[in-house]
Amino acid sequence: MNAESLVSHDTWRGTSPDVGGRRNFLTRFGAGFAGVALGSLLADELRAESAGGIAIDPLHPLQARVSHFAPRAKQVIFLFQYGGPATFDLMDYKPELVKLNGQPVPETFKQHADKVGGVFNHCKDELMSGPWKWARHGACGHWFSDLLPHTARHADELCIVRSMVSDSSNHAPATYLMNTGAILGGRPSLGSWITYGLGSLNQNLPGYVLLYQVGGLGGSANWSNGFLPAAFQGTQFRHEGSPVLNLSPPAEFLQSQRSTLDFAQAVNRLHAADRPGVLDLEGRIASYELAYRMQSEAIDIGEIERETESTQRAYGLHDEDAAKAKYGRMCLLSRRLIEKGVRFVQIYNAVDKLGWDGHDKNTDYNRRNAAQTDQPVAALLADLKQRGLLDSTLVIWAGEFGRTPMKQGNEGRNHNPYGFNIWLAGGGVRAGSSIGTTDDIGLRAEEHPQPVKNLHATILTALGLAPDELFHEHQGRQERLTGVAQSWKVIPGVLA
Amino acid sequence: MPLLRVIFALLISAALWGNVPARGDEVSRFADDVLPLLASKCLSCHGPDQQDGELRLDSLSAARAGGARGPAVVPGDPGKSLLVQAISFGNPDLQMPPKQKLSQREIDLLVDWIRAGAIWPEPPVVLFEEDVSFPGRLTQGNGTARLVTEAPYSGRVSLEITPLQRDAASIPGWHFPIREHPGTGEYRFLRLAWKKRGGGSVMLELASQGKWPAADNPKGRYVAGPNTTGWSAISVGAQAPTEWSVQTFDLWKDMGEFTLTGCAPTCDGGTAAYFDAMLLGPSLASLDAYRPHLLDFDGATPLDWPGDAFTDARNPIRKLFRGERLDLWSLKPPGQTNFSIPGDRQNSRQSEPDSEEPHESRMIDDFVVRRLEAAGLAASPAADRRTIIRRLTFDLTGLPPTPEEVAAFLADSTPNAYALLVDRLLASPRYGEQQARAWLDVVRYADTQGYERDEFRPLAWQYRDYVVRSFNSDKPFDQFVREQLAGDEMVPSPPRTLAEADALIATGFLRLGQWDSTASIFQEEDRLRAEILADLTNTTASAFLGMTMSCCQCHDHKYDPLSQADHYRMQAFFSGFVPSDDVVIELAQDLEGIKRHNASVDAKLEPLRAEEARLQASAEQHKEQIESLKREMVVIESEKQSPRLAMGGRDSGPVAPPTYVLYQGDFQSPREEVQPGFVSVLSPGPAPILPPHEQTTGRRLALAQWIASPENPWTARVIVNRIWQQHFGTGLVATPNDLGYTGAPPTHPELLDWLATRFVAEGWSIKKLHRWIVHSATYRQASRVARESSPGEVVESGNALLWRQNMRRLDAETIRDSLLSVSGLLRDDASGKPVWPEVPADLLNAQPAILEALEGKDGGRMQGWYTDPVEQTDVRSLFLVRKRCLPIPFLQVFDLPDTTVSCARRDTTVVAPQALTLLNSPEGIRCAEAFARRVAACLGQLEMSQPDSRRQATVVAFRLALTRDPGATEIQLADDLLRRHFDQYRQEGREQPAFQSLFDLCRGVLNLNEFVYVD
Repeated sequence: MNAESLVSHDTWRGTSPDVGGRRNFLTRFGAGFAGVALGSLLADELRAESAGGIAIDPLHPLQARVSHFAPRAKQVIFLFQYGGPATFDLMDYKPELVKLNGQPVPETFKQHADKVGGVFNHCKDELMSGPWKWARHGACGHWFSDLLPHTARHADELCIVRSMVSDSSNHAPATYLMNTGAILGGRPSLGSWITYGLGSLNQNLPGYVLLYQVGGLGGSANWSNGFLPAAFQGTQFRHEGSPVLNLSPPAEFLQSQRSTLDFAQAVNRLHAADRPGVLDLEGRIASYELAYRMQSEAIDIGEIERETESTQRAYGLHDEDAAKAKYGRMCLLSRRLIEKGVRFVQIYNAVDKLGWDGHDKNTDYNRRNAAQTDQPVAALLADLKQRGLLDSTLVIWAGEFGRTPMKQGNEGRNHNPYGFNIWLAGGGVRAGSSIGTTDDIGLRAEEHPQPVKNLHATILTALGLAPDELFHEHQGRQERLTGVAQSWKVIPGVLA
Repeated sequence: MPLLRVIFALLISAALWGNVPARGDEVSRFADDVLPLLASKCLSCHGPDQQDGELRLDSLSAARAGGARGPAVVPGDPGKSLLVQAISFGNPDLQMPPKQKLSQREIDLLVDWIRAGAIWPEPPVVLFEEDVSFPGRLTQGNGTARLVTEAPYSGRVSLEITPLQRDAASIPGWHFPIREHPGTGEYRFLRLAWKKRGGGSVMLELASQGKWPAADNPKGRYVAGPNTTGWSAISVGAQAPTEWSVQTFDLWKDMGEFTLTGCAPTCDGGTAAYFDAMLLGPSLASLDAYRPHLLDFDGATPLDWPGDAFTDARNPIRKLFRGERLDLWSLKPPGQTNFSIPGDRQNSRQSEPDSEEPHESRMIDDFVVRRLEAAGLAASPAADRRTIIRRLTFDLTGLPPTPEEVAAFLADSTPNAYALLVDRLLASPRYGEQQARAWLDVVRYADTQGYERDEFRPLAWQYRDYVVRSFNSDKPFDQFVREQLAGDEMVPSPPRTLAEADALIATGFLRLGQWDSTASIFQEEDRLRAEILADLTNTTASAFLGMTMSCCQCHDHKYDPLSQADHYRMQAFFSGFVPSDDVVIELAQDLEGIKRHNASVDAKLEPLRAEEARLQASAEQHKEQIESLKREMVVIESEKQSPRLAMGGRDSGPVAPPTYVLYQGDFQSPREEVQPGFVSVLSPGPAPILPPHEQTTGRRLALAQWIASPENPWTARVIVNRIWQQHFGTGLVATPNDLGYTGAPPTHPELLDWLATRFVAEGWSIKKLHRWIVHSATYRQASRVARESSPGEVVESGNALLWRQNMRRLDAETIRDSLLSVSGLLRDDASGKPVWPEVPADLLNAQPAILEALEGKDGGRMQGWYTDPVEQTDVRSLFLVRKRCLPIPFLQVFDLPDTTVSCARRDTTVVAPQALTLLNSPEGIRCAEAFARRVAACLGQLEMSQPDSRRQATVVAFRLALTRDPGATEIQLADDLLRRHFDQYRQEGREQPAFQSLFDLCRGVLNLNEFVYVD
């Protein structure tokens, strides 16, 4: 359209809202939205939502909600160990494996039918124990190898589950399983379910925050909200630069931002006043204000330079190992986020695409990953404890599966979903204990094998959520993190 | 394997041993005594399932060849037959059967049989006995063919033919060479039983290589009774038999060598002719050894299957749920609804005059108004014209109207103005794009594989463009369904026309789910196959039938009348499917051209190759020459053309792998085998399947035809409801993928059924359906109403009764497309391979698989992100890449659905990151700047110091972005912003202070609620 017709008036007569029904907009605008009709509408909306699961206030989806029963912990930090750490090199001491180093696998271990891919494929018929030195730590006497000297100092805080099993020996499905409860990607993640169930403690920040340099294999499906509302999606907090994507405008708009926003919001209010009862319009106006507040609060969290020198040093922020310094930043940021009331924080350990996935040089991978993560993780536990946050924060350390005691390639280990260790600490956890065992070479869970859904049920229970009650009606089915009702068990002995 | 099934298999499988002339009593002894004994005592360890000692005893050749110890049977010589030694228990190392010695009578039987020559005739081919699909295979003729249970000759049914005949000259699978001395796979004798009712004659006509015998040639026709057909035939009796009569024809003697490909059972006069037990054997002994009473007919008899759950107490679903769950509304076909057609209600209509209004639109209004009146409510007034063009343009094209379009519509006061607008939008290529966007949600389209590597699927876009083309050409929806499920079974390969090529591209539907390319590395193919089949089943059920098949993957459905077996019966339709990434869609005639062209290129290369070979003999001296020769050859080689390909697939052959019910859905816990079947509540038997050709099972085509049939109670309702949802935000059924008990019940059941019925009657035309809906006054109502005049708000705030239109937020793609459109950046010429917009680098770095690709270590698997130059990315969002592991952040934040499962309806959540994205993202800023330039260009001189020019800038910005004039307060607000920002920038000495302040205003306008909500 040429400029002339766009600025001429004739054909546009009658399209201005002044001609329509915009009467008394100022009185409506002034009266706010606490009217009776709106109140009842809101109640309708809430009823509609609660019929399908948890009642969500559409204007304040992250509002803190009452748990099903008294919680042991209020917040969660999930230290995801990407790639599949060989936990019998770290904390699951196997003297028999040390003894059999270099020897073929005894026949007795070969007589199991494997649920998914055969665990002996691609491995040599040779056991490998690694060059680690082992010692007991703490009053509880947990074994640790010399790969984790810092974590070992917190032995008495940890409850180690030694008999985890996964349903896939493949990264993406197993990572999906650990994060979403299903090997097929696309379902809501653990953090989404928890924020859906409990909301968050700070309305100016996302309830579910992710920190990563390199995320898990399988990508964003690992922190997807699936069929849950988008408010429960994992939001990445970047540990450098602007902490949240698009948090701030380009520099030249910083100054005018508020004024531009004020214009838009004023027009929005006129528009909403003409359309009484459309909740989304109010919600969207509120979301712009939240975005504005988030800007300052999130930037504030990102300013870790404000931490004391000794704290920064404890987390390894100034370490010459750049990867360790990055992981330290993420651990420190997670404490700051917890402090600000974020419900669920998840950190991916990998600083490159390798993680713990030591197919060929597992010994090197162990050394590198342990060196990067051990000190920051220990500092996080100490820091939380010192600030009185550990009692109310559940800390989880887990990978998607373990590795084989058999050698692969020169000095590597293959994936092993049939038995691996994880640990939990903090709120509600029976500290200084362990549950279950793997067999003598660390190959398969032996006593009390625990599927991943049991871990999820345990985490939900620690937070005061009943796994079968935490559901969302989707396409005709009550969907749950833990699947079919009563198909799970809380791992006995984990919760105090 | 149960005994009977073993014998069945032996009786009809192709034998490996030749034709042995035999006496009748020897044949009987074999068929009645020897074979059952072998089957019950030997074959469980030495048969098809298990071969202990490498020995099989299920054919004479196998028994003669023997196992690890030597020949088990030496015909005529029991002493040399190890079988005899084993069963006699003479040798302590060789005693069979090991647990219990045979009785002396049984031992004698086997010894005598071997001594008499071990007669073991080759099994005949059973042309017809209990085959449910046989009547359907007779595709021609003016008589009828059906199976009847009354007094069959053998088995449970016989074939009834009414005058004159049913025939097929080429029956799929029929290719039987007839020879004097038949070798393996060759035959000579045909035997059948026939009878006639009501006089006349009974005849069988045989086709040789797809051709019937000439009328005056009797060879190829056998008749009993007075022949009045006018076709010459070999008479085998003066009278037609009234009771079953067995006839054996020596085909070679009568017709010589030929290939039998078809037949025509014929009823010449009278009421009906009956045929049964049609066999084809290499020898008479082979026919004599046939024992129909031993056949295992489980799963083979159609007429014994119970009927639907409403009428037959034996129906498994009726039994399973004790007669409950049958009142589900969607089980009853829409055509069975007794519509109480409302009377004409002139007064209820509030829209402007509409000379082209279809009858159906008036009916829609009548159905809606009737319900409103019953609730004491009235419809809302018609929306104003500016609102209606904006609403309609978004609904039909997914784009805002341009100011020109708005101005033209506002100025057109003729009574057919609205009809012209509707027609223009439906004819726009943008319509198909918008419709495709909705369909791609339903089929969970993505351009990548998912899982760990998430590789790019370079040809997935062919399916996307196929969907666009299909909607733009208004392809009948039933055809659209059939093509996606079974296009490969419907058209030849390579295709002869573009329409046929499209049917092949359509099978891309079957490939859209996730695929874990690393599963094989960890021996998880079985798990992956189970997941893919379940996913395909669930998606097919959701997309076409609104059925929650995923709920009965692990157990019987909790609410709906579906059993766990129903899930696997549906899975079985897909069991034979194998994916292919190189489905040739180049037309057959063009393939010839390509072949010729490539041959000519090869001809050019030939002398160079020879030259190279010559030089290679002394390679050291001719290094440079060889190198340059090679370079030249590469250049010429590159002239070769390759045919166009698509991502799709086909069946692996005529036989599909078996499908089992999986206990708790676990692929490692198979239970009973199931045959392909439709939902048992309606049709508990196996589905009738007619393979269209010999390289496929025909299973998917059978499913497609059932889904796309007017009688299917779900299909038409589901698509009608989806289209309705596009125009009201909510469907008549609020849960379009679930028409079951847990889904929402229809708000206007009669309207839904009436529309579904009309839709089918009018040729499944989606465009017609749109036209009916958007011409209705119901659609054209205002969405907002003054509070005081709307009792509906109090009575029914959810608006299920449609007393007003619904205000709707635009979906992710439409928001982005609107930004591009309003800012003048949008390129509307897109199609073909997807476009990769820039995404923040740290998101790429966050993906191990993408990192691997960025480092060039993905082995060419294309698991990376391939950013296109920014100007090329200003295409509609439909054409942007959908990467499963990295949804485009700008779209994702506005509720882009996950691509794992079918999405029936977009969420419209309101979260702060949406505000951050529109305000601060590079995309948002870039569009705002382009928008400001467009406004500035309209204004000519950009001047911000004068109130009039500020006002004009505001007017232009509002007209472009919101297709309306600003109100007085808005002008005031904008004026305030422009003035203050302009002053500030001027004071700061910024460049272009006027433009910068306009830029700010435009940024504000694009962030308005009104920009993303439609009245």
